[in-house]
Amino acid sequence: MKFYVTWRTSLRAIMKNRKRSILTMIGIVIGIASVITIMALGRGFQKQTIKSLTATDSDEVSVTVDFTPDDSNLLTSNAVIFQETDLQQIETIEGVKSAEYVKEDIDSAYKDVLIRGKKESKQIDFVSSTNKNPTIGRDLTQEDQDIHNKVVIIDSDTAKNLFGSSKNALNRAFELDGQLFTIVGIYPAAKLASIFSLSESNVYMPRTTYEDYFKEKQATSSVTVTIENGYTPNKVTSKVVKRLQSKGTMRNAGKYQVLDLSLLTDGVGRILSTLTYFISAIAGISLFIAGVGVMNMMYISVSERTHEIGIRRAMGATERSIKLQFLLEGVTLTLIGGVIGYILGIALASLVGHFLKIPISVDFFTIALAGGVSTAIGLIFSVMPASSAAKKDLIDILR
Amino acid sequence: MNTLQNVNKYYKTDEESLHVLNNIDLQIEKGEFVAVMGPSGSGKSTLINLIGFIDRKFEGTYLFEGESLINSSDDKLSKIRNQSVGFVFQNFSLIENNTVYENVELPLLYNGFGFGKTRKKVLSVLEKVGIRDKAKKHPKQLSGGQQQRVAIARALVNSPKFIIADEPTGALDTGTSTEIMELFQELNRTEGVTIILVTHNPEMIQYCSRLISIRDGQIIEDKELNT
Ligand SMILES: Nc1ncnc2c1ncn2[C@@H]1O[C@H](COP(=O)(O)OP(=O)(O)O)[C@@H](O)[C@H]1O
Ligand SMILES: [Mg+2]
Repeated sequence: MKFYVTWRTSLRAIMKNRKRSILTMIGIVIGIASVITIMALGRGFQKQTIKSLTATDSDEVSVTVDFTPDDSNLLTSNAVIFQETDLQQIETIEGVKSAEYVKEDIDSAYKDVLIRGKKESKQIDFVSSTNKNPTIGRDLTQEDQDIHNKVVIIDSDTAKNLFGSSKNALNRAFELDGQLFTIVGIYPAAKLASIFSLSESNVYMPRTTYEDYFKEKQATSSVTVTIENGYTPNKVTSKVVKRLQSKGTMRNAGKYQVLDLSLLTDGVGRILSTLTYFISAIAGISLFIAGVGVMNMMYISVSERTHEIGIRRAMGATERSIKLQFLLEGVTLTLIGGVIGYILGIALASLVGHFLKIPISVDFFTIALAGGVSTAIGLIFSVMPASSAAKKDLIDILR
Repeated sequence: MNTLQNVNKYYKTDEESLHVLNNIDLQIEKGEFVAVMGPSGSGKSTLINLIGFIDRKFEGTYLFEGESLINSSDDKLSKIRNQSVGFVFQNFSLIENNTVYENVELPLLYNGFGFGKTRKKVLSVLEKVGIRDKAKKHPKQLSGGQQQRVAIARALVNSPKFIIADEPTGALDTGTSTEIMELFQELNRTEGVTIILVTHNPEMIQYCSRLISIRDGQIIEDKELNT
């Protein structure tokens, strides 16, 4: 029998045993659909998170190297922390594309705040106007901006951490890099939208005030190091820090450190892809179970159709063509199941993505995965039933 | 055409061994219409399954057109079953969820025909057995006699060298049985098809040209019939 004829025969058998065919497919459909949903959402989520964490859209990773002096007075002095020679030093390191002072027009920064004797990094936004509607005290005003008022508003979490409660915090002093600011308002802390969203700031300060007290000093206290494509940010960064630690101008006055979002991105990206793979592994297990389901259905099919197999053998079917027929039935079923599962998965991912505002990501990998996995399952789990169909002794099944 | 020499067959169950075929010597020629008669359990089915290359676990010699096929590959035996033997069974053995047309087409597909090339042959054999109008029906929609005609059409479609029929009328009423036997006789006379037919109904042997009687696995009688 020609291959095409065998295949058509398999298709015919699938169509004529519709109920059983559908039952066989369900497991695969669900398995593939869940894998595709997870992959599409996971990858979309990963891309989105990384994009939102990296300020630049480019693939280049940049790392900010900070200097933390042992004596905090150093920062308030006009000392130049990173000098031109330091930058040149950094640029000689392999994998470093450029080293520059941190650009000035930043809107926010992380600064260490002493909370119960411990330093905690808080995000501080420098704003020209706010609309935070503090529950206690007042918002920042245009007047604050105009007179470069040394005031801040902080969120209720930070207030609680610092002074025990939001009420206590009002009109107290807030220390930042040795400068004292008056807390004039406390606004409710944002509930974290997602564990990875970093957009909510803990402290707001008038931009003009910030420019007075921090701008100049900060100019030389941190450096942005851009890493060349193809280099691992972690490795290059640690080389930079090591070099600075041994040759940096200020090496005896404090510590060079990396405080950086890209590294975080690195880690978050890794966590996310680990998460995706982990969930995919679970989905893989469900696919395996679906495969066993296929095998079970194929065995049932073979035993139900023993008589048919006998007739076919008597009519001249070889063992090989019987085996091929059942293999093709299995593969065709799982492949159809895979296609349906893929469509269902993408639809489901789009739906979920729509509500969670995550763009879904469909790449060749997921398509290849759906097709490959379902074909493989069809093949692997049909081989044994198909062989058992072919191996049946003709004389026994015709009796 | 089919030569059996000193053929023995045993079924071994647990400790006892059943001697189903005992020293069978048999020669069947082209164009014969052989009836195999005997009581139930005498070994008739065992014998013709052996002749039809369905069973090859036996002792002795079976030559088909002078050649022993006992050690042939599955491919070769399947090809012989496909091209040289036509099977008709007591229970019709049609594939239930295939149409009459698809059932009759089956041996042609295993003979290497494509789907497009079977139509003429299938319709002509259906015509020959008188059920051309039933091509699109499913076996369940036909009477027993019509189903057996489908099976006969299927057995004929590859123009086999011989047909083996195991109690083809066993499940049919007398009237229908007569029609089927007349069909066999006509095929034998006008087309020269060799037929080996098992029956335990003595009324059926009047259509045949030779009678082989079996009892307890032994041939007790082998005679020509003049019809
Ligand atoms: N696969 C088998 N295993 C054991 N005994 C069998 C088997 N097939 C047939 N027999 C026995 O062999 C004998 C002959 O069977 P069979 O050829 O079917 O008889 P008939 O067709 O003449 O009624 C019977 O006694 C039957 O029980
Ligand atoms: Mg019998």
